[in-house]
Amino acid sequence: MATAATEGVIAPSATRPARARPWLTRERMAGFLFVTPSLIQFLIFTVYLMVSSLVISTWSWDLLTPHRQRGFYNYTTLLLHDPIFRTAFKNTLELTLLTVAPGMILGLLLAMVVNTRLRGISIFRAAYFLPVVVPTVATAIIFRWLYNPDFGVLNWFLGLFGLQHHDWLGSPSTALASIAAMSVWQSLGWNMTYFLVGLQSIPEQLYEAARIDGAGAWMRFRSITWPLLTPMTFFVLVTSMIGSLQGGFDSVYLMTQGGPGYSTYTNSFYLYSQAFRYFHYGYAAAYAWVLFVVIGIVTFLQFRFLSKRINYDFG
Amino acid sequence: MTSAEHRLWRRRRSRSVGRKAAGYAALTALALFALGPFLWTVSTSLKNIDEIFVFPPQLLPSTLKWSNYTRLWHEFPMARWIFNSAYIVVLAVLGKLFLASTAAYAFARLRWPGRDYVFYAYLTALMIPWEVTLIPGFVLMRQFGWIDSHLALIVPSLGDVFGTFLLRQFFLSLPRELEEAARIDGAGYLAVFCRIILPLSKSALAVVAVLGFMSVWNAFLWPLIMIDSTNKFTLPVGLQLLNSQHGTDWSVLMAGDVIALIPVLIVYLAAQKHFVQGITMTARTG
Repeated sequence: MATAATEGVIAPSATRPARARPWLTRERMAGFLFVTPSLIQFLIFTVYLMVSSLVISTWSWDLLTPHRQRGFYNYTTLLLHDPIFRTAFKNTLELTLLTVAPGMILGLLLAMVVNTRLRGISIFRAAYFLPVVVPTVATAIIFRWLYNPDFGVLNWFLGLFGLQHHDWLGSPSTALASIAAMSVWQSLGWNMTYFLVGLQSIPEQLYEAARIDGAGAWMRFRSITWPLLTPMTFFVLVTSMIGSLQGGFDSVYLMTQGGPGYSTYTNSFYLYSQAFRYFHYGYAAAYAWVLFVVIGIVTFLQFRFLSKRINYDFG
Repeated sequence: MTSAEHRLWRRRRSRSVGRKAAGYAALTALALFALGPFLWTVSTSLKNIDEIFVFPPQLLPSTLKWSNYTRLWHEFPMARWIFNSAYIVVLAVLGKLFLASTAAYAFARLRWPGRDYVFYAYLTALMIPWEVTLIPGFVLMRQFGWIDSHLALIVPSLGDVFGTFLLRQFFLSLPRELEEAARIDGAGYLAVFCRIILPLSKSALAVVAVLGFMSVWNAFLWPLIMIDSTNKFTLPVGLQLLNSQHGTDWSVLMAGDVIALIPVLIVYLAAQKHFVQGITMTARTG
């Protein structure tokens, strides 16, 4: 009762200056003005486009003739009656598997190699990072040449070990894996730098203590490096999964155009084809939403099942 | 030092020298793996045709055939493509810096109604795959009449949600005392932003600029569907044209690639520190 009384006494006097102030204070005014340019851009190019995309996804539309409202027709066709969608989906998952796992393992190994104080190490790190900076278009053209069945360097190199010539991009069994290999090579610098940041945040004393206790290199990796690196490993896993599930357009477009057959059709390439080759804009918009949901589910599952295994103590 | 100690010291030193040498050898081999394809590109771009179609491949050209480059330069508007890419990237990055830094300041330092909701909306937007806005974006550009115009490449890329997020986190980490002192001296919010926040945030702004440069300079699909005239192509779309028209003319293709690599290399070497810093910041905030 006493508290209620004191509250009643204190509250009005505490709010009095706020009531006296006009609603639009200088600070609020400044806040609105500072956010406005960015917010206009955001409202048009994110919010409006999202809504528009959802609307278009229910249309049958070639942009030239008036659209027809089809409800969920695009979605049901895509999910139930489109065999190429299934192929593209399978290929995208395969590409993701073939790039994310090797990319992470090699990236971690490379980070451990460059995590030394050797003189000039920053030059080597810069060299390993360079492929990341180069446009995929340029890289894809280079790799087409390296993969060339008759005069390519790769066949020559493998020939040194007695392997036969092979048409890497031209045969359905290896085309997708060849694109994946390029992608791994290209993104190794990212993963290396991420893991390097993670490795350098682990306190040196832990290793010294372990060494004094007689722990070998493998033991130190198992009981210090790996557990303390889990936040970074999780971050790299989630971002590269997302990147890979929505990626694979530039390289496919330049190296194989989805072929041979449909063996390198990825989601992004098939979506592009539906829109800009067959002029099925509504269908492609629905495709994008399916992709969005899939990526959302995969990301959610990763957070749901993996985030518990992350050790944040020293991260 | 006793002779036994001396021997031990020498053995240790020679072991560490040997280990260093092995380390450098391994690092060099890895560097060859990372840079080899680019070196091979340069070599191929200077070869005569009869040195390209040979097996086993010839490591270096016997004479440097510069005419591959002049031919390419005459047949395709390479200079024009580089110019297009360069001015588009400059305008887009400047715009990104302006929009991202002002919004980040509003999110980090100013209190206004609805601020947190808008910020959450921005965060949610980070999860949207580019495919979702591709089709309606194309439709919108058509309504604006921006098909085959560079406006379609610049204006939609001005927004940078991730950059805004990075800068907000950075602004939050700045000490407030300086701003408060300036406010007491009668400086307005704009003055605080321009004279205190921005000068203190050069490194973070450089990171946003570098990440923005990469995304705009390397963009391929969007300019591919937006631009029809060869003269208005950006460099990646131009390279794609070379790839489809000269798919087996390897020396010319590789010459095109080398020319495309030079600007990237210049920017990378000049801003290398910020590239690495960008990743570090990304990893820390993500």
